Amino acid sequence: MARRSIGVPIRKETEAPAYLVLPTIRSLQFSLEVYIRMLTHLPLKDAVRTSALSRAWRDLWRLRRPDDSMEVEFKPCNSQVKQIEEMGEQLERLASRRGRHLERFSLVFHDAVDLFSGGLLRSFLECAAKCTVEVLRVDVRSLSALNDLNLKFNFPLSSLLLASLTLCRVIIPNSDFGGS
Amino acid sequence: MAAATDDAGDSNEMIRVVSSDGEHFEMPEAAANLSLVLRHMIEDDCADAAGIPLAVVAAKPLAKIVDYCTKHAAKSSGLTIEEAEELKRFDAEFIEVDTDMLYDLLVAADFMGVEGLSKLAVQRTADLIKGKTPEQNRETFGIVNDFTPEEEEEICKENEWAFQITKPPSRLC
Repeated sequence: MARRSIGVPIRKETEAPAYLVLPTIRSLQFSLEVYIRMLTHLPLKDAVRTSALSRAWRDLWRLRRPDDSMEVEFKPCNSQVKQIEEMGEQLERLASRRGRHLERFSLVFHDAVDLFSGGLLRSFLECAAKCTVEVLRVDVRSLSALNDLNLKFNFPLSSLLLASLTLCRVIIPNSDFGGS
Repeated sequence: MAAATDDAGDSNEMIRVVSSDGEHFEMPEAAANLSLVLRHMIEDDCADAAGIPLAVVAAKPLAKIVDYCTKHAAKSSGLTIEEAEELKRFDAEFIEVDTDMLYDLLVAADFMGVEGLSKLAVQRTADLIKGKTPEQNRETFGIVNDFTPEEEEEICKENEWAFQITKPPSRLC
């Protein structure tokens, strides 16, 4: 059996455009993906400041991923604790926007949800409404989740910017819409 | 140096890897599977007794990565709240490294395709950049300023708001 040496790194979706000279950090070269992720993690102000580091850094911050849409999926997982923790992290991410505008928010449930998730859904929707979300989608894809009475759609009606709302198999309490 | 072997995953098979400077390490197969590259090598039957050679990863970062993967593979399913918290603490301590090691981990995690570690190292790097002046960041990262003074001034003017020194923001409500 021939032994293979891993000499050529596997590149993920991003390949550096030909015009872009990637900076080196202490003479180490990273893939473009690492820079993009790093810059995406930074607040805009800090990302813009990196343009003054050197010529190679100058326009790199413009490759930050747009931060105006968010997708959260509730997937089956062999550990409920991990699942809840992951959802908690996503919720924290949404809350940390502190109301910064969000163009799209999508929440998909693939799995049965437990007692906590009714509260989670409400918290997600409240945060999304605070972020003046424009396009909102909530999709319940599993029967067991559908049977879960906790999963009710409560969206604060004060969200004035909401332009599009897609609900799939979600229970809507009548009282939320003034009974109409 | 041998890797921690006490908490192996489901598979008892040990995978051997060799650093660029010739040191041998081993970890449970479940741990190696956390690396996309190693997983592909194992699937392609390239993991033999001689070990998988990793051409760009030196022994020092590789020891850390083996440690990371072994810990995370052992605790990947059926976590209790305590275990999840312990794993979080492990991560926080794990990434408290000097910048040289941080860069080595960034390169190695990216190269080996260890998603969780890559995220951890990227977040840590972003945390180091945050709230610093360009000059401070140049120093931390060993970046050479190759702008002319005129160019630098122009860049700062272009996005003046970002370069203004502001007092720490008062707590937002």
